[in-house]
Amino acid sequence: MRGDDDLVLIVEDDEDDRALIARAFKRAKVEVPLQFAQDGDEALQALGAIASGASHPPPSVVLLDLKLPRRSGFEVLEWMKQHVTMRRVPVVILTSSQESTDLKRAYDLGANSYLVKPAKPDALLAMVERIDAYWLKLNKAAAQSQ
Amino acid sequence: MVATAALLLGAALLLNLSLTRLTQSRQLAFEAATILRQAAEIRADVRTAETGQRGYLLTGDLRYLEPYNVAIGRLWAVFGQLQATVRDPQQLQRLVDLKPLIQAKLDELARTVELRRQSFDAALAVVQTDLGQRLMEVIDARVQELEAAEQAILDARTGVLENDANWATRLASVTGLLALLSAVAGALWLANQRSHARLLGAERRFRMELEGQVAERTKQLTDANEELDAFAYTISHDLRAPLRAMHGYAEALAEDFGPELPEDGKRFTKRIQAAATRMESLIQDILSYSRLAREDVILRPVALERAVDAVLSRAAERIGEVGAVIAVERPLPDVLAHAPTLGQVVENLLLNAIKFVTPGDRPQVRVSAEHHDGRVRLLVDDNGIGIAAEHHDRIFRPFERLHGAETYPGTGIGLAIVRRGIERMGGRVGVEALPDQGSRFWFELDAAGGVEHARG
Repeated sequence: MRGDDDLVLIVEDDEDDRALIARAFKRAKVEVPLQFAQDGDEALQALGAIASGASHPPPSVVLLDLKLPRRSGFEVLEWMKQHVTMRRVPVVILTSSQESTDLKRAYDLGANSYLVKPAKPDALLAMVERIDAYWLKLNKAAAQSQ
Repeated sequence: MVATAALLLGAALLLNLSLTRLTQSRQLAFEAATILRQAAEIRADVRTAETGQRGYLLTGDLRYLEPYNVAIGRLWAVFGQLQATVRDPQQLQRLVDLKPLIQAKLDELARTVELRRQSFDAALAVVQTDLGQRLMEVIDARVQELEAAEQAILDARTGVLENDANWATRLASVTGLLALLSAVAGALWLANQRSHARLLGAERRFRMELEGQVAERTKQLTDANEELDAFAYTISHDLRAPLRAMHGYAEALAEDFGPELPEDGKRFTKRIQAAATRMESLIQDILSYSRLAREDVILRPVALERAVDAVLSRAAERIGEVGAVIAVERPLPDVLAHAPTLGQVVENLLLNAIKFVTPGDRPQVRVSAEHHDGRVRLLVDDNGIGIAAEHHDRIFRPFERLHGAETYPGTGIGLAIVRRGIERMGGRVGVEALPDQGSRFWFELDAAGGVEHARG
């Protein structure tokens, strides 16, 4: 069910958040390669490299923070949705912002999901399980059957 | 102003009238004086004629007839003038009566003169008949009568004249005074107008200045408020990242090294987690509260019953923990509200209702609604510890707590969110409670009428 080309790109500037998300993936036993980008620029570099075919095929899902140094999550999202090879990659916004304006803007730019970072580790674990179930398994299966 | 002008005009007209009358009076007085003079002349002429006649009778000297002739010649001319001058009917009648008497006298005089030419004795005989003397007396009397009457007329006219003159003088004075008063009043009025205008100008400037100040202060306050809200938001937002880390690592510690930790280590880890949980709800409440101030609240018809049910299902775990019994009197009416805000308000009220009970008591809550005059009032009654009347206002302010966090944990913002949320939706909120007698919290919103309202 899970192919070797699976990859999850996590764009997150907070070191602790990165570590805890990685830990949640591990606890949920979602054994998929995780690639991290620490800001918007780094995310675009990684995605650009992938798009040019220099490295890995496009990621199965991108977990994207909004408030990032240098280049915001919105810009990364916008770039992705305008790029032919990245347009269909699911983008899950993972942010601490509960602002309805942020939510609306993200969906307007083509985000596939909008999640508020859970405060409790249990909730984070549950969230990773849902991401795996929906975006990595179900959605992937649907995409392959097309 | 108008009254003064009218008075002045009236006074001027009266003065004019008075002056006209004065002229007329003067004319009349002059006429009377003329009449008196002419009457006197006539009497004198008659006398002169008689004197001349006597002299001629006595001396036969023709020179005495000279004044006699002159007097007679002038007499009728004067008489004619007199008749032309006299206008009083009674005086005219007197003249008519007087004329034959004078004529008779003159006839007598002429007859004696004629007789004297013939013989002294014959003439003397006529004189001695005393007829001439009696005629003269009657004439004198009549002329005196005429003169007295004319004098009376003259006196009356002079009186009128004086009166008129007095009136004219008084009127002139009054008019002058009025003119002066008008001038003074006008000047005062003008000055008053000018000072009034000055006052108005000053007042307007003052008001504008005040309005400017108020607008400026309002803007400053609004800015400060917005800044505070933005500050609260940013702080709360940025505080959550390290908080997640604390929480996450505490849990990781407990999970990964739990078995190796001594009892105190496990306890401390739990305390860290509990503190992080508390801080998370505090931040969550501050965020909700500040978001309520900043975000647009669009009102739409919302099913109150569904909002209550959603809260009951969200809080099912907590309700089960404390064994609370929550009775909802269905159906509940629809209201005009902002659904997320309404949900939060209902949640805060229900969680409060089951929280503040005497430890060990089973919370019993009743949710009901009243609907009248286009407003819906939702009532949440509990069997809790109640609230003293002096605290009824305080509890709706942010960070106000009546109890220690040990007994009743919470952020102290829950009811502030309720009030701000309800007020943003154009409603009212209140509490009826006494210590140890339970509490009734209520809020009031417009009933749903299908009309959409936007509140900035």
